[in-house]
This record gives sequence, C-alpha cells and structure tokens, in this order.
Amino acid sequence: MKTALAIGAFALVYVLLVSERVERLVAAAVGAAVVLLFGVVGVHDAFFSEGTGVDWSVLVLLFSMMVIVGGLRRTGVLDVVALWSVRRSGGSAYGVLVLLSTVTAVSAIFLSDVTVIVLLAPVTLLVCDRLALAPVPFLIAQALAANIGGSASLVGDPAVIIVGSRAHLTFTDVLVHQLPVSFVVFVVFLALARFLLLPAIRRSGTDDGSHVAAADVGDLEPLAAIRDRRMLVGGVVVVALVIVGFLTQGLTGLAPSVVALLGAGLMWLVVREGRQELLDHVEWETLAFLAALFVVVGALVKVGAIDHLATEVGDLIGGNPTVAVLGTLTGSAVVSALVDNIPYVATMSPVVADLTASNPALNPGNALWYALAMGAVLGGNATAIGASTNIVVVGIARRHGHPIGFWTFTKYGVVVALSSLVVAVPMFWFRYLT
Amino acid sequence: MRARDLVGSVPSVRPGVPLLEAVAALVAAGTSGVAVIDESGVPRAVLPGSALVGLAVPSYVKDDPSLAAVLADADPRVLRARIARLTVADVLSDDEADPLPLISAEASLLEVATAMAEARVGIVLAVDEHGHYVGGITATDLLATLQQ
Repeated sequence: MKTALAIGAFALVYVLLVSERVERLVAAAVGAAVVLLFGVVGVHDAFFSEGTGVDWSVLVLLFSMMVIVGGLRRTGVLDVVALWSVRRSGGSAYGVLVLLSTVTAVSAIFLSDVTVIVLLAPVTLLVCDRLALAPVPFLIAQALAANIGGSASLVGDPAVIIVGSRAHLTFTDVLVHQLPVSFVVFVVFLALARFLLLPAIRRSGTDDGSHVAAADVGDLEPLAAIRDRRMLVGGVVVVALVIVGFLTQGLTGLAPSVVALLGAGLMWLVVREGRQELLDHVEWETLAFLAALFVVVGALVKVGAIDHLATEVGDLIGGNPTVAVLGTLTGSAVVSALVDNIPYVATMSPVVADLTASNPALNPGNALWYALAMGAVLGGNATAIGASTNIVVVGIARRHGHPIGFWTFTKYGVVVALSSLVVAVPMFWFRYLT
Repeated sequence: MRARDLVGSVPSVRPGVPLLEAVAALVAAGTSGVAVIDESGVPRAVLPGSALVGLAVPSYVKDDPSLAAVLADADPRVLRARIARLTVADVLSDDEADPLPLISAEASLLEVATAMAEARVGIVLAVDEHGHYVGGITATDLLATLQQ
C-alpha cells in the first residue's frame, strides 16, 4: 500500500509538472503532502535522513549563492565587465553576441546560470537598444551560453548541485571533469551561432521608430555602473574568497555548502544598508520546490522503488559501462529537454547511487555521475521549458515587450543541444571508457 | 469648509488622449499628478507625475538601475519618444490595483485630510452623490488652507 502511495504521489507530481497547470511548487508540495499525510515517510525520513529526506546541503548551497549574487548585484561589476566587453566588439552584431555569451558562460561557472541571466539580461537589452537590434536572438544565445557555462561547475546549475551533493563530489572534481567538455561545447556553440542566430539578427535588426538617435556602443561608460566603490571591493573580495574556498576543499575539508554559507554571511556584513534586499533576491519558491521534491523522491527510496528500478536498469545495462555512461548522458539529455531537469536529476540521483554501489564497474572515474549532470544541463538547452534559465529568459523577454515563442527558442535550442551531445559523447567515451 | 471649496488645481484628461497631452497638462498645472476622468464624468485614476517619468525610463534600466549612469548622454528626445506613442488608457491598467482616492464633495476638512494622508500621490478626487467628478485637491491646496 505504501509503495503504491509513493509511486502514485510521484506520478502525480510528474503529471502536474508536465501539464504545467499548476506552479511547480504546488505540484511538488501536493506529492510531499500525500507521502507525509499517509505515513509513507515520517519526520525522521523526511527531515533527518540523508538517503530519504531533504538534502539540506543542496538547499543551503543554493540559498547562500542567491544571497552572494544578491550582494554582487549591488556592485555593478558584471555590468561593467559585460559593457566593457561589448565596447571591444566595436558594435558588430556577431562580436556582441560572442562577447555577451562568453561573459555569461564564464559568470555562470561561478554564480549559477539562472542568476547570471537575471543579472545580465538588462545589459543585453541596453546594448540591443543602442544598436537598434532586436534582442531576441541575443537573449536566446545568452540562455544557451548560461546553461553551457553552468554545466561546467558544481555551483553552475541546480542539477549539478544535486548530483554533486549525492555523489559527494568536490568543486574541483566537477571542474576538472566537466569544464573541458563544456568548453568544447561552448566553442562549437559560438561557431553554430554564426550560422543559426546571426541571420536572425540581420532579419530582425530594424529600427522600429523608438530609436530616435540609435547611437553605437562606443560612448557607453561602463565604469559609471559602479555606484559604491566600498561595496564593489567588499563584494568582489567575498566572491573571490568563496571561489578560493570551493577550489581548496581538498585542503580545508569544507563542503561547498559550508563555504557558500560563510560567504553569504560575509556578504551580509559587507552590505551595510538595505540588507533585506539580499533576502528579496532569494528564490524561496525554488528552494521550497526542491525540499518538497526531495521528500517525494525520498518516499520512493524508502519503499524500495528506487532500489527496484536500479536493479531493472542494471539488468538492462548488463554490466556494460559504455552503455551505462553514454546511455545516461544521452538519456538524461532527452528527458531534460522535455521536462525540467531538476526533478529528473533529483529522481535519478538515488538510482545512480544504487547502481554504482551495486556495480562500481559501471562508474569508471565517477563518469556515471558526470554523465547525469552534463546530460541533464546540456539537454535542457533543447526547448524553451528544458531548463530554468530558458524559462527565466522567456519571462524577461516577454516583460520587456520582446516575446519569445516556444518554437522560436526550440529551433535554435535543439540544434545546440544536439551539437552538445555530438561533442560530449566522444569526449566521455575517450576519457572514461577506453 | 467642504471638499468642494478646495477643488480646482488638479488637471484632468480623458483616457483616450495621447499621453503627451497629460504631460503638458501636468507641467502647466505644476501638480504631482493628473486626474483621469472617463467620458461619463466618472474618475478612473490619478496618474502620478512619477509614473509618467517612469514611462520614459527604459525597462532594462528599471531592472538594473546601475545602467542609468552608463547612458550618460541620454537624449530628452529619446526619452520623449518612448511615451509619444502611448495614450493615457495604455498606462491605466498598471494602476488598477491601487484604490482610487475618492471623497465626497461634501466631505469635511478633517475627512479630506484623512483621505489625503492615505493617498499615495498626494491628490484626492472629490465626487458628487452620483459619483461624477467635481474636482481634485492636492496636498498643497489643503496645507495652504490649514496655514490661513
């Protein structure tokens, strides 16, 4: 009976998520309410168990990074970097696209893809306004670049954070294993953008009449974005310390969630006025959604459904690591293209944990974990709903009067996601399976 | 003294007129806002001057105010062009959530002062028993009366 309830609650959550009839938090909360109400999981399982409960390290890491980015937002440093880069482009459309995408991707490695989009989309809109270019191709490029950058590091995307926590990976582990793939994927993306997005920019680059004096970007004053030099220094030092903390986990033994939490505390001290604003930038809905999702998936673990699924998958794979790793990489990409990658990764992480525990040969050099993380993030690029970043950029574009249709995004996203797989599959095969 | 004795300084416009007309009325009257009155004479909204100024600000600067300083050479013609194509009705929907600061034309001075203290824009609109617009009162009108 409890097994049926756990599976039923999980199925209900997925149906609600896919139908998009209710907010994703409501979908996950309904599932969590069912498994808690009917005693499938108890208080201990839900809140104090590493295997079946809320993964607090994921929530603390996400929360802390949101606070840190909220502080960094005050410094204007990303505005300066992005605008300075754009000025180097001399105003050429492709140059602007490459430089904005690069700043976005590199920032996403350290600050997470969704927050970077929120910080940099206004700059993109400003630059497009100045150059009398329609911003849609640039915003799509920025979302794709953010996801690619986010796939490179432990803090780059919530999906990687979940995988990193479940697999006990360090920041350096993820960087060393995922950054090379992300880098090549990004270079291919930039080359593709010339053929995919540049023609769209040329077609849509017309003055709609609102540009009375469409100036170039040469007379922008990037440094003027800095309003408070003390805040700039403090904010940049905190971010630098957090990055050093991430990179030295092997020496200090401090988990990424602890480093980020300490960083958030420092940022709180650096910001003297309007601290409340730091909490305003925390996406509480995302944190609550994840917590509820962990409870729903934890119920599947508790009743043995995940164990059963892992056994079935293990039988299907037949002990072949090539099938396991490449199947996870491509399968994760396909599923993440169709549904939000966070619930997918939250569900698959315990399956992979079971698989690797019962058959370590399937996971050479933790390849199965990296395949899950990279497949989920890069696959999310395929459609307008595949990743949180895409959903956020579509929302920003609509709010600013430049709606991006599902298929407008998807026709570019699918090509980029497929090209990512074409790059990632041989790289995984060469690195882990030969 | 009643509310109807204080009205007169607030300009009013119809929803269908170009937004620049509302701007001109506001500048000429020197008040903090303009009353929007529909064709049947019923008040629809108070359009604050700050909201009109806000319309000239690019949406991306509202998202990231740091960018305002980056655009050091912002041309008044560019800002004007952003609102030139809008009508008053185009910008009313955003303000629907705010309750209209209405008072009876027969309201006492204390009632006017109470409504004014709660009004976001510092303007209250006096209406007759049929809900038709009689006139607007600014905080300055009221303070001038209190000072006498």
